[in-house]
Amino acid sequence: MSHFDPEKHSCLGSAIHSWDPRAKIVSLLVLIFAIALAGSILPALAGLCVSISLVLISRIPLAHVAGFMKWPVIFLLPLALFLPFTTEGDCLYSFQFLSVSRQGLFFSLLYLTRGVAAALLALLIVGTAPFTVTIKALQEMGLPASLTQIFLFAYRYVFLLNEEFSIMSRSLQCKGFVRRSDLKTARTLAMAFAMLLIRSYERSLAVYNAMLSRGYRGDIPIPGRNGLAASDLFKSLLVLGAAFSIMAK
Amino acid sequence: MVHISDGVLPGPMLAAGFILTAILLYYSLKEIKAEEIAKISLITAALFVASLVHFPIGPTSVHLILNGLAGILLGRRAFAGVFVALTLQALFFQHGGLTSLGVNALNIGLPALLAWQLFEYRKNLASPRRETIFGAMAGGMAVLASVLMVSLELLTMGEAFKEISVLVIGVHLPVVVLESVVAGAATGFLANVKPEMLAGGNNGSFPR
Amino acid sequence: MKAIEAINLVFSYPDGTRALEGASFSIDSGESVALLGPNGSGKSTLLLHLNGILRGQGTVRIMGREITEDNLSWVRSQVGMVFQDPDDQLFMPTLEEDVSFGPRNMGLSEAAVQEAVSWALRSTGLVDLEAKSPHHLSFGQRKRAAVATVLSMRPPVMVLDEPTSNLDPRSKREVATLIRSLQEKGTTIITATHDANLVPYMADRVLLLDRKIVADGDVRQILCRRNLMKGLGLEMPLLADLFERLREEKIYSGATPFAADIAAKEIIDLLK
Repeated sequence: MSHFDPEKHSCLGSAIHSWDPRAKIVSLLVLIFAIALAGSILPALAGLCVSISLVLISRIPLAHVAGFMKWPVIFLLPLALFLPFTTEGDCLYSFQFLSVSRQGLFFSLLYLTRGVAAALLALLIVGTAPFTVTIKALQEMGLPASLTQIFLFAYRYVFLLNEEFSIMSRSLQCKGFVRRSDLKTARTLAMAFAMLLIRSYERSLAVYNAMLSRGYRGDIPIPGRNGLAASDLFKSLLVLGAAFSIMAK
Repeated sequence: MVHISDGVLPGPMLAAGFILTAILLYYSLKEIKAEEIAKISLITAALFVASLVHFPIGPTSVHLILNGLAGILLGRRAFAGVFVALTLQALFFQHGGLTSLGVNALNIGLPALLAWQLFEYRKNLASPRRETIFGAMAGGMAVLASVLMVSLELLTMGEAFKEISVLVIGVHLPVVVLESVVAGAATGFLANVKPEMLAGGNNGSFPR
Repeated sequence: MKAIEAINLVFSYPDGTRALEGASFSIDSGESVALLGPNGSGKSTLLLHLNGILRGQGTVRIMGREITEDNLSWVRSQVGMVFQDPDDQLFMPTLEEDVSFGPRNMGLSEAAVQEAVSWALRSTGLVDLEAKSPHHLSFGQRKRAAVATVLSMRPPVMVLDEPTSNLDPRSKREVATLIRSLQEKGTTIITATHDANLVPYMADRVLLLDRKIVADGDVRQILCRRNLMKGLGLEMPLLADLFERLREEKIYSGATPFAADIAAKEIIDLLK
């Protein structure tokens, strides 16, 4: 995660980037649900096409996208590999006691298509604006203020704590520690986790002092935002139209 | 696999997941005080980082879930912490998904709350190692509960999911043992060094 | 007018550590004061009393008003606190949000917030970095950013905890220059530091702390007292050390120089 930079392409200035975050989030979420619940393979594939087009419009480099897309595929693969064999239905091919069913193949393709399309859109939501813009838009739309703050601070400190933990791991390595499948490894890493937790706890006290010093009384004021422009509504209309036609099929 | 991806679960289950998650979020954040926000955020961030660490198991490696430890440290606020961590994972690592976020938060966060409740029973045990013992129990139980919930949800999808449900439980049994050892050792250490960090510790900053 | 007045501060941490044992001092408006003391002398604890984060026994007055439970938000708008670890201070995901955090809490209008932010970023040399996350800034930039987050509130009093620690020499000098320029604009400043060589560049007066104030006076007067400084385990500025030795050997009798060029001139004169 040391080279992990989710905001790398958040300021590219494409049509997706310039879309009002509130309108963007709502529209893309509707589209995600429409695709994730698509009942058959054709609308799901149509959804995948829409997702890919939106990613292309966003101008986020495809290499960056591909790096992220391996995860939903890895998570879905066991399911996709099992279902053709375990679903009852018309036998397409059989080998000793194993048989591949048409229905099973259909389901595994459906799940993969829906999963990848939805993940592409999730990437689009966070990839086309700085995280704080996204999270504040969510607060404007009703996310509780306390949760907004936990999101902001957790996001800020994940990077710092990750760095602290890599330094700790490095110093463990320097003392000859090697990760193996044994109890000693589990205990050593448990101690490292405990140290990380203590540091983060102590830092939280210092952070709270720093917040108090700058007048914090429990909420973070958010500057007002302009209303939606015609172009925002137009983009939303297009995406919502796609979502509803996927649902209607 | 403890995270369920987008595109797998049916609509009613996704909806139920969101409704229950919203209710538990409300419960988890009720009467939150300004001074708790930084603590919850930092502990959540630390557990997030720790859950990215690879543990070798034989030829492969696993990640820990650490929801038991979340319950032990954050008490009732653990559910909010889990929700935030899972959202960040879904958005930035594409683990899990946005449509299944409610279900996933429930699968990981409800056991975190159970782990906290189980850990509270340590007070009935008069042993200097009670934090280690109950920490291990809570840590192992939380993962086991998460895995069982995932497995049950998959099972409701039909006969075809029977084998994969069993597989999910099978591959996670080593994780249950590992989490139990890690949670026990970490909790025992914290009880000695920083007892105020444990939920319902001694300063009551995380309300019981 | 007295900007800060501390009377007989006593403070113990919950674990029993006695951090302050009756510290008293006062600082006039517009002064720049350095707070020196070894590790564990209570510097950070003392500083945290100055904006009411810690409240033990004793009294603290800011601009003549005693700090009480009821005027904390006024106190925090008057006394800006820069913490030693910039990662404690920079808790928002971007620099802009961090620098605007204080002004927004003070309830300034959006235009006034923007003006304060851009002024603070300009003063600390961080213009064009406002959209960056703290983990994309260098350590030196983070240290200056921590100052900017407080500067944007334009507090009449600024408290800095080790603003130069772990910085490279040039960055140290930049921080010292910044402190002086703030003082010239009328800000009262108290700086905790271990950099004895830097003190003459940023302060006029020195407080020596060892759980209470053990010495208080002009920079020249305190930093040149070998027994006092060595007794607390502190280092004297290198040039002061050298010229005090020359004075003890009765070779030198002029004023102690703190800058290399003046010292060189004095040495050349001695050699003639």
